[in-house]
Amino acid sequence: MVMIETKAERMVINMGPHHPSMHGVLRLIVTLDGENVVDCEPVLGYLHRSMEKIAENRTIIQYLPYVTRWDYLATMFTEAITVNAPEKLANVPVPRRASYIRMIMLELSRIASHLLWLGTFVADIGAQTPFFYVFREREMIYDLFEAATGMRMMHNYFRIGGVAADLPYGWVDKCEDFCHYFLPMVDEYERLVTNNPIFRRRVEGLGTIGREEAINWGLSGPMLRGSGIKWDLRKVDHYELYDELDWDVQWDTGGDCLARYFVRVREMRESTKMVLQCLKQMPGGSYENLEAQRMQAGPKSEWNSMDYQFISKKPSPTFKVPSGEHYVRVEAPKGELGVYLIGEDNVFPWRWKIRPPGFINLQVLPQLVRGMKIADIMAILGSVDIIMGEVDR
Amino acid sequence: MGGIDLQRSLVEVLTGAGLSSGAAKAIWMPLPMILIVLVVTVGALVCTWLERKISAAAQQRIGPEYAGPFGILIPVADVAKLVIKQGTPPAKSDPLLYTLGPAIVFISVFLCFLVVPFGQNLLISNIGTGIFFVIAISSIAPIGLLMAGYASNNKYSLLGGLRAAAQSISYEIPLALAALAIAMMSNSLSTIDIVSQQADYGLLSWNILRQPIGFVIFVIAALAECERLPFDLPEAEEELVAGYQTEYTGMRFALFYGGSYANLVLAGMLVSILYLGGWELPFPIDQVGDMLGIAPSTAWWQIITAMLGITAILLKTYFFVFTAILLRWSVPRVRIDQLLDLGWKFLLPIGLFNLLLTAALKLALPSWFGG
Amino acid sequence: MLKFLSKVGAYAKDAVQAAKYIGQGMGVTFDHMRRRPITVQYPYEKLIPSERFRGRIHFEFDKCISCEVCVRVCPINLPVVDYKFNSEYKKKELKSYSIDFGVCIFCGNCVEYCPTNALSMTEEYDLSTYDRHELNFDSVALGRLPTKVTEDPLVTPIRELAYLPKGAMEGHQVDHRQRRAGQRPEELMAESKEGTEA
Repeated sequence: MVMIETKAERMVINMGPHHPSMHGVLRLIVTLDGENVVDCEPVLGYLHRSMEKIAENRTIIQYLPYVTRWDYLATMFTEAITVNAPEKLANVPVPRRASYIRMIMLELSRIASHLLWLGTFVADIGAQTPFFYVFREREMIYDLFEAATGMRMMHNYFRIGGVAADLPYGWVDKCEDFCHYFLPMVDEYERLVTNNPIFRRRVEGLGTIGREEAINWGLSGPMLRGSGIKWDLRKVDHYELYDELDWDVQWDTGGDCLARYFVRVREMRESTKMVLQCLKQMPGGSYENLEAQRMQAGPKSEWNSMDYQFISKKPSPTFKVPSGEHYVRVEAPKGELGVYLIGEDNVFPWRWKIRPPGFINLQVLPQLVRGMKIADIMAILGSVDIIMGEVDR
Repeated sequence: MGGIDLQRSLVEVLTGAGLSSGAAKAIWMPLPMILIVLVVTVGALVCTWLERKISAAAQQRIGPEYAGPFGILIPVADVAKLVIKQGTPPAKSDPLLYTLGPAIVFISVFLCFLVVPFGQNLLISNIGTGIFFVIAISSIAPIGLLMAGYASNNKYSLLGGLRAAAQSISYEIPLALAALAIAMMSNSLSTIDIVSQQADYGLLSWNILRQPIGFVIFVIAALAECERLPFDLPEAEEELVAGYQTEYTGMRFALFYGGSYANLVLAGMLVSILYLGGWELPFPIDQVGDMLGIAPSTAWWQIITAMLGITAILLKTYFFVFTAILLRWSVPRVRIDQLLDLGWKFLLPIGLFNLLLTAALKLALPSWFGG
Repeated sequence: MLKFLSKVGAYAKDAVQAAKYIGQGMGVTFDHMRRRPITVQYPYEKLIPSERFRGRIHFEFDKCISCEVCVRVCPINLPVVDYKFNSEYKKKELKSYSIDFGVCIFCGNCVEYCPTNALSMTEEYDLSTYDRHELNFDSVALGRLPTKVTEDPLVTPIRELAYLPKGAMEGHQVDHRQRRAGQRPEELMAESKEGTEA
C-alpha cells in the first residue's frame, strides 16, 4: 500500500512496569510513529527473586513451597517438575494411584491456567466480562484444590514419590460434577467470544509465526502448536501415565493469535475429558475410601503395600539428590517447563536451572509487534501468555 | 395544538400578581436553566449507577448494595468524593488548557440539552436549527479532549486526545447524514417538528420504521461519539491507561466523567426523538382522549399526557442507555484503523445512500415520507 | 455493474453476520443478568475453609520435644525453638517457641513433619494487624484456639464446591443440612462388611 510520506517525530513510550495490561511487571519500551509500532524492547527483571540460586541451598522439601511462585497460575506444574527432576535422577518409582492423582491435578491446573489466560486475553482486547465468567469456573477448580491440598494456589502437594495426601472423600464426585458443568460453560465462552466480528478482526492474521520460525525461536506449548506443529511433551516424553488415557494433541495451522486461542480453548475441553477418564480409571481401591479399606483390613494388612500406603510414608526431609545431571521437562500450559538438575550426592542440588516457557516465548514478541498498531501489542502479548513470575524467576 | 405551556402560565400568574410582564419573564428565565442542569446531572448520575448495576448483573455480581437501597446513593458518594479530592496537575502541564479542557467538554454537552424536548413545550428553546445545533455544539467537545490530552504533558494523554479528535471528526459526518435524512422527511430541523411529525399513528409512524438504515447508522455513530466501549479508543484502558483522562483527578475528572455520561443520555434522547417518536406513546394518546370524550384542553388531561410523555421519552432514552451498557460489557474494542475504516468506508457511503434513498422515496411516496 | 452488486451483496451479508454474532454475544451477557450472583459478600458471608486448609499454626507446648524438625523442613528455618538441655533427665526442655506469621508462607511443612503432632493447622486466615510485630506469635499466642467461621453469629457460612452435595455447584443455593458428596469411611466399611457377610 502506498503511504503518504509524513515526517513525524517518533515517540518513545514506556509501557510498564505499571501498566494496566502488562501482565505483571513487564516493561516495554515502544517506539511509535503515530499509532504504528516501529520498535519494541522488553525489559525484564522486575520480579527477579533468585529462584535458581535459592534452590542451591534448600532441600527439595524446603524448596517445594517456593516453586509455586514461578508460574503462579499453573502451580501444579511447577511442583510436578520440582519432584520429577530428583525422582528421575534417583530413580524413585511413583505408585499408580499417586500418578493418577497427579494427572488429575495437572490437568485441572492446566484448565485453570488457560481459563485465566482466556479472561486476560479477551480483556486485553477490551471485553471485560469474560474475565468474570472465567473466574467463576476457576474458583471452582481452586475450591477443589483447597479441599485436596489445603491451599488454593500455593498447594505444596507433590512429594518425591507421590503426593502429600490422598484425595478427601467426596472429592471425586465433586470433580466429576465440575467436569460435567464445565464443558457447557466453554461453549458459552465461545458463543460470547469466538465469532464476535470485532474479536475476529482484532486477532485474525495478527502476530503470525510460521512453522519453521516457531521451531527456530524455540517456542513451545500452544505457541508452537498454534503454528501447525503437533508437539506435546505428554505424548513425546510419556511421563506420568498419560499413555493410559485416550486423548489427542490439540493444534492449529493458522499461526496467528486466533489459532493460539483455538488451541487453548480446545485444550481446556481435552483436559476436562482427561480428568474424567482419570477419575474413572483411578486405581488403588475404589475412589478415595482407602481409609475405610484400611480400617476394615486391620493395621497390618496387604493395604500396607506400596500402592496403598505411600501417603503416610513421608519422603525424607533429608532426601539426597544423587550425583549426576539431567534435564527433565513437563508440558506446562504455557509450554515446555524444564529443569536442568546437577546433583552431587548432597541434600542440596548443585545446580537447578529452570527453563521457563514464558521466558523463551516472550523473546519473539518484538518481532511480532514491529509494524503493528499500538493496540495490537496487547493482543499479541496476551496471546503469548506470559507470567512474569516465571519469566523473571 | 395541545400541550401545556408552563412559561405562559407562570407569566400569567405573575402578571396577575401585579408584576410587569418583562419582570415576570426575567423571573421565568433562570428556572428552566437550573432545571435542565439538575435534570441532566441527575440523569448522568443515574447512568453511572445503571452502569454499575447492569455490569454487575451481566457478570453475576451484585454491584453497589449498601449505600442506600440498591446502592442508589453510590453516585452521590462518587460526586462527594470527587468534589473534595485534591486536583493534582502534572509538572510542566499547561495550567490554562489543563483546566479549560474538561470545562469545554462539559459545557458543550450541557448546551446540547437546550434543544432537547421532554414534551410539546417542555424544552428551553425551540430554535429552528434544532438538531443541527446539537451536532454543531457537540463537535466542540473533541477540542476540549484534544486540549486535555495536549496539556497533560503525558504521552498516553496525547495519544488519547488525538484519537478522540480523529474519532469524533470521522463519526460526526455519518451522524449528520443520518440526521439529515430525518430532517428531509420532517421538512424541519426543529426537534419539536420532528417529533410531532411522528405522532399520528403511534408506534407505526415512528421514524425507525421509515429509516431503519439511518437508525443503525445513527446508533453506531452516537456510540462512537459517546466513546462507549466498542469505540472507546480515546480512553482505552488496556492500551492508553486512561487516554486523555490519565492525569486528571478531582473536580476536573468529575467534569469528564459526568460529561461522558451526560453525553450518553443526550445520545439516548436524540435517538428517541429522531427515531422512536420522542415523547409520543406507542399509541396515539390524542385519539384515546377523543374516544373518552375529553377535550384536549382539559387541564388534568394535559397534565396526564405531559407526564406520560416525559415517562415515555425517559423510558426510551434509558432503553438506549441500557443497550449501550450491555453492549459495552459484551464486546471487545475495535482498533483505530478499523474504527476509521468503519466510519469512512462503511457508515459514510451507507449514510449517503440512505440520504439518496430517502430523497427518492420522498419524491415517489410523498404521503409516507413527508412530501 | 453485476460485480459491484455482488460485492455489495457480500458486504451486506457480512454486516448481517456481524450483527448476528454481536447479538449472540449480548444474549450471553443478557442471560447472565437473570442468574444468581455467585459472589460471596465477604464480611457478612464467608466461605468455610476446607478441612485441610492451612491457616494460622496451632502449637501445643507440652507435646513439643524440641527436636527442631520444623526448623529444618521450613523453607526459611522460621520457627524459633528455645530450649535448654537438662543434663539430669538427659532431655531437652522447651523454654519458648515462636513463629512469625508476617514471614510464614503457610506451606505446612512443619506440621507435616512434626513427629509428635505438636503443630497443627487451623482455619484462621485473617491475621491482619496494625503492627507487623504483633504477628510474631509466641507459644502462648500459638496455643490459642482458632476462631471459626461457622461459630460466628454475624457471619453466614457458605460451603465450598468440594463440600457440597453431589450435583450442586454453588454454595449459596444449598441448604446447610444437606450432606456433602461421597460416603464416609465408616459407611463404606459397613457396606463392604454386609457384602462379605452375604
